[in-house]
Amino acid sequence: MAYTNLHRLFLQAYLLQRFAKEDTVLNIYRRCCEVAEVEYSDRDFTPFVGVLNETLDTLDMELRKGQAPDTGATYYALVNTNGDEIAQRATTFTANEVAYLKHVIDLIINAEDEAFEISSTLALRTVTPLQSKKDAQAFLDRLIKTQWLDDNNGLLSLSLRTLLELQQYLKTRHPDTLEDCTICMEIVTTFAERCGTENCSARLHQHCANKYLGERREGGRCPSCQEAWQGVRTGSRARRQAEVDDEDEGEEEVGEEGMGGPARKRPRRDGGEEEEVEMVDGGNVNEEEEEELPRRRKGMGRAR
Amino acid sequence: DEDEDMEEAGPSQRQILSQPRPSDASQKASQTVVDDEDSSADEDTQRAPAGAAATPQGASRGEQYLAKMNPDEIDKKVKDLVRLALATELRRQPLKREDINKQVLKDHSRAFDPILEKAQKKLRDVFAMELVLLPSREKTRNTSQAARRAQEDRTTTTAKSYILRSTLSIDARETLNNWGDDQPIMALTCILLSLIYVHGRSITDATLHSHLRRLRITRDAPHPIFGTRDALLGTLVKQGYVEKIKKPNSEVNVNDVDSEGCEYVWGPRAKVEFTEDGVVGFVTEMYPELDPNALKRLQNDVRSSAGLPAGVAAMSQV
Repeated sequence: MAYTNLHRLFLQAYLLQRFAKEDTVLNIYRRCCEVAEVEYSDRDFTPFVGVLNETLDTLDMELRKGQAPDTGATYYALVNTNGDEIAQRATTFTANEVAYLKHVIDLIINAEDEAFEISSTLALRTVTPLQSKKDAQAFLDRLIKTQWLDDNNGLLSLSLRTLLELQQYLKTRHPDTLEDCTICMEIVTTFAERCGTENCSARLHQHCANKYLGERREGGRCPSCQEAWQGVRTGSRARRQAEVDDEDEGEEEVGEEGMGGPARKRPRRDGGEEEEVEMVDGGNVNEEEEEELPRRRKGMGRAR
Repeated sequence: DEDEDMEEAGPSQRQILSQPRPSDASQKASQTVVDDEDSSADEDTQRAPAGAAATPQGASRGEQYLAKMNPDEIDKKVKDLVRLALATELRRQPLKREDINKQVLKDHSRAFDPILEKAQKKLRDVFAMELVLLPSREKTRNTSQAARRAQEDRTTTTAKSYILRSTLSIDARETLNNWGDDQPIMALTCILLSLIYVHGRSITDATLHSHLRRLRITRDAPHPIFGTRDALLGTLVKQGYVEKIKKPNSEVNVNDVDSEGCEYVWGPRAKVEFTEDGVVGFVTEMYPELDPNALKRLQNDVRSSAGLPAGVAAMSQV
């Protein structure tokens, strides 16, 4: 396949979009086909992208495909593969904002228990070099709105867009903390499982595990050590979700969790019981202040 | 039937790439060498210097310099210039020649012209885009042609700046129009530029403020999308869509307490990105279902309100 006006049309259409779901992208591709008077077929899209990327590679750019950690939905991002000064000129953030974002990214990656998410409270604890908490909060909101960070019930994690766009930067900066999914070889953060076999370091995206091992994980084998798959869900949110799935009646809401292993029961919420603190912010329970997450239901443990 | 003809003729019939604009063509003929001042005295849009491969004197200085450079280094600089152009355009900033020298060429600024020309080719091949020289600002409206020319001559080559423009035809671009997050502000920009145009290409700030008030864009209360009026206008000026001119000896409009006695005109970027036909088309689209005669009359009205004889296509971009 040659490089044609169809590729040029598509690039112009996508230069401003930059990051979108697969069906949006296919829609754009279809409109370009109409303009270029080429017959549209969604099966042509993958080879089309192949030719596109061959050319984009000469400019240190790439149209990258990825799956969102939570839903497994496919997205495309038009990224720079070379993060040098020139590429940095493209950012619409100020230098201070970029520095703060990098700090937030570090916090997320260093969160305990491979949670890869933090509370916004933690993010706002140090706001330099931004001027004020208000500025930082506004910036965080912007990051969420423009899809650089995901916000799940007040917990911030790296969005697919960030993982695709900053892939090289993240891997260079955190070579030991970040792992690749054994199946798709992309960075694994939230919504992940690791192999329960001792000494096996295999990690999978949940959506990859769903495809490879089946949703119920029955009879599947670890792609790395070949033992029967016994997945341990990493990350606090996944653990909470597992607890919701495992729990019998009597528990009403997802919102708190305990430390430690996956099977721990959550405390009942009768009066008089010690309330457990969220561990998601990566801080030590005893040393840090207990801070309430934004979305907790009122009255939880406050009125004793 | 027109459609059938198009289908039979195949893809080549449909205009994907635009025709070069009349003002561009006249610039192509001009010879440019790195240090010369080219005919930038007029306000026409120009294409970037053509690399001067065909000067009667033989290879230009730029080309001679290029011949001595390492080919890998040349390729890298071409690539970096393309990437810099894309990055700068993403922020809607003009790309200044001095930035090109500093960030891309570094010690090799003498190779500017041929490297720029190679970058243009790359931009056209990959993206169907090109760098276009921005016309200078209007500064004051009351100076004579000669005075303006004198002002231009004082502008050195290094003060030049470029923006990226699509080489796709209007037809193709309309189908693809995807301004992403910029959609609302681009729509508003079209409206404002049209307003300025039908007001005779220039509008007092008092009048502009009252139009904006109708759109609920006011000085104090921030609009949910556009923010406050002055911040919005500031952005448009910075991006080059609109230019603010202080009129000498003007009387402040007593009816508008925050009029500064300024005027707004089309900025350099608007002159490059929008055409007169485009604006006339945009304005007439507001009127539903006109018969061809009424449409023609309306088009003439729009043009004459901009201060031009009816039906004359402007040689300048406005």
